[in-house]
Amino acid sequence: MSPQFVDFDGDGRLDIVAGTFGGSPYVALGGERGYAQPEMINDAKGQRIVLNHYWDFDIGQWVSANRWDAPGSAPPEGQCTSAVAFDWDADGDPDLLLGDYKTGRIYRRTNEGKRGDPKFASVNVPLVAGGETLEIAGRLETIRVVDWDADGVQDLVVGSVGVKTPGEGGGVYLLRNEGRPGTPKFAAPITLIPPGGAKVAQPTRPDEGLYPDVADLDGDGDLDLVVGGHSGWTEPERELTKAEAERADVLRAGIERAKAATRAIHDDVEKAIKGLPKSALSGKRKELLAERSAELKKIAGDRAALARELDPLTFGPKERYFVWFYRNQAR
Amino acid sequence: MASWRRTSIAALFTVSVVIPSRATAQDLGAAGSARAPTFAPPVRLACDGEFLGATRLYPSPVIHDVNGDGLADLVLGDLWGSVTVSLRRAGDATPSFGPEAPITASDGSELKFNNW
Repeated sequence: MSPQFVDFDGDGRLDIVAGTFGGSPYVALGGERGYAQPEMINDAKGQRIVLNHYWDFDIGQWVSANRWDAPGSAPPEGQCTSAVAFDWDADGDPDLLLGDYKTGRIYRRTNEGKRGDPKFASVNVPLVAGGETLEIAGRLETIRVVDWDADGVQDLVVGSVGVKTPGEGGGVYLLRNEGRPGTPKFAAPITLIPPGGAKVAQPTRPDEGLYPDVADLDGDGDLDLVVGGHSGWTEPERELTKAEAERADVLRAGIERAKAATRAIHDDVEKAIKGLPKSALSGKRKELLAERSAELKKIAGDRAALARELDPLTFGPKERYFVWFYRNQAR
Repeated sequence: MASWRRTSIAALFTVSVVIPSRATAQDLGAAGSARAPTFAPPVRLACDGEFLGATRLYPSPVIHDVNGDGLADLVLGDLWGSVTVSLRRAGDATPSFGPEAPITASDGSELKFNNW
């Protein structure tokens, strides 16, 4: 989802903009007492902002529609799972860049309103980089806006999804803006982190689903990367002691009990909503799960603790999500 | 929990980043002969021995000073729409953060972005 802290509504307070897997951008508006719960960002006609594939909450299924495609174009099926505010035309209000999880494209929704009164266009305009429609290899995971080269215009840093095949994992790329404020012109992507996925015995980097952010974290005056992502590795085998083996069995049993308890809660909820109209299913399911969220959270916490203890007692293929710090060695 | 800062319109779209030095611009080739910077081998961010993001799906970080103490904190979104903050611990050039704590909305509930 990649949160972005930005003054979206022009009130001088920071809001949080984020895309979600359902296919639309949301904003949590900041007020005097904190953030409101996120709301969907709509276009000038009050319609959802989507690409051409999204989750329809009313009917509870994925749908495709091409009415927001640029006229005369036939873009491939696209799903917006990342979004950032970006003042494309330097008119003082935020336009939107939408990341396509399915193809690696980025689309723009121009804000034809004004600061504090956004009116987003209803057409998805594909972003061009290096003279061609941008299509990040390995599909797009997220977009970040930053003046990477300190030339006074905003560049883009993007992360890709990738696959498990070695050398075809996710990477991080820089799209330098060679234009001027109000007339961005992006160059072809420059690789900051090459695609991952090598076969290793220990996690050495994020391999898939790379979510970068950019900041001078070590305070040395250059920009570092912080990258969330999925790592896969194969832990070499070793023989367990008798005590270790017994403990591993206890931990595994505890994890299975936790799984069963979680499953039972979900089964209860599904039983309770059985027979409801399709349009009401999603909302009621969410409501009932919310009522039991404390239970679910407790079980998840207990299970995570068991899994952490079990981890060094198991071998073979492993995978997990981490957040990585890439220190820029420029200085 | 949040600090509310007024920012100029020019700064609105760069709030989570720090403007780099000229040296970085030269390294990248501001005139157009761009070459990628070199990064040290990555290290996993952790809090008291626990890796940050390890219990989440698709953790998406953003660096932002949430509590206004002048230190850039680690905010993490995830697939389920939850948003947490790990506050930056002072003192080290190598970043060190506290545990993941939910960011709450003004009504006291945990901030949650809708998902499918």
